[in-house]
Amino acid sequence: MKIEINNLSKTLDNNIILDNINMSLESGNIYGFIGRNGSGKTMLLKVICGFVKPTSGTILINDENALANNYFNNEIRALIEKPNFINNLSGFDNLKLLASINNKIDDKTILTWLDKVDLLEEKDKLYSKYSLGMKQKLGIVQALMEDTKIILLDEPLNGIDENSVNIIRNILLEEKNKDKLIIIATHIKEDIEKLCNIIYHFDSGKVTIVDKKTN
Amino acid sequence: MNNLEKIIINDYKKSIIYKLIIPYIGLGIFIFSVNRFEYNFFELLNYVSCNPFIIIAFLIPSILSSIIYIEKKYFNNYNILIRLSKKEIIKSNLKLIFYIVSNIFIILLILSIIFTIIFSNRNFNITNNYIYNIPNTIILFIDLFKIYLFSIILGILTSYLTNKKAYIITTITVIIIISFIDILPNYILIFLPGYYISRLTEFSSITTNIIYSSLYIIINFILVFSIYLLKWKKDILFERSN
Repeated sequence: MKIEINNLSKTLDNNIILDNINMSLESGNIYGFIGRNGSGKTMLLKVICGFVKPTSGTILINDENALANNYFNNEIRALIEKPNFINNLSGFDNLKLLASINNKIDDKTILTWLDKVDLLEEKDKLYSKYSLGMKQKLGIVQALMEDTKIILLDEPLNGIDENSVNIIRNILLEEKNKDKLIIIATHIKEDIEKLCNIIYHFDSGKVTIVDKKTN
Repeated sequence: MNNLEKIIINDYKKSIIYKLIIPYIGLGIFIFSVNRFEYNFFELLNYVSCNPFIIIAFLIPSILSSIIYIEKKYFNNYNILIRLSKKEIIKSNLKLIFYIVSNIFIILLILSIIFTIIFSNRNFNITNNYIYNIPNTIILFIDLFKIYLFSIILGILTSYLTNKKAYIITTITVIIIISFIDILPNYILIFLPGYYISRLTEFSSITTNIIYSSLYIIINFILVFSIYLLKWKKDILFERSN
């Protein structure tokens, strides 16, 4: 998979949110978007998902104009801003509901994923009773469980305990090795350093620096 | 209905909004039907179920709050949206609007029948309408059908208006309409939603009534549906649900 972003800008109420962004992203990498709050990282993730239309510029996903399509790319899954689930369903039922939309995976796969992030024992608990960290882990599972090629994660390790952070970091590295294209937007430098091999620094809607790590 | 739509409906039916709708509409119908023993069954049913005040103050807010509930919770949820094509989203969205409006309309109808049985003089004779000189039951059927179609149009419009600003404007408009409905001149009333639908206007014949109302509904539908489709062309997920 390849995402090419060309001259992409987004203006909202005369405020420039994204300013002439250019980047080329390819499978087998974890990209880090780093910058302070309001620097445009999350907005760019929303544009890639197709939720927000840019004011100008193009996004090509595998050479296809993503903005011209009348559908969200089914190879993208995301965790943006904060997990968004239904309060009066259990964690497992929430995932089952999402999985039932495309019917790509069965209950066993969902349970395996819950086990991986240490949520199996809590699977029948109502989502409203989940702690912040558990909600976050459930959000990560929904983004990963359907084995899509592109995964976008916005502040994925927020509120997660240290033990689980290490588990999730390992999962993400495994996913990268499966030739996935993963983007992580965060302001936590440690996550970026441990996970990402290409880092885009955002400031006031612009990409200011691009760091490439040589492994 | 698919699994997702069934879950949304189940959740909506368990919500506080849905549980409040029944007593709320019931209260409105009670206020307008109590102490009207001079009306026979069909006259009172006609008076209550098609009453402009009940439509504006009880039916419209119930539809408004229900549609906003499902829009905020499900159609502003990126986990769900990202898994659907835009065509599927629109289809599900319209199906649920249709279901919710029908459900509220049936509640209105059942409560109207119950209160009419209680408060009318229980004379079930069918009388002729004094304006059109046709049986009241036919007028009742036509009016209910018009209100139902208008409610669906309103539901679609509400789905477009799901942001705080639009909600406040709509609520204020409803309050103004309720407050001034009796003193507003006809040239202003004509711009109000439901003008041709409710009993605010009288036509020279039933044919004129049907023609004007049909045209009004068709024009409204085309207008509202076009606006609705724009929603899915614009940015979504700006006003987050939680």
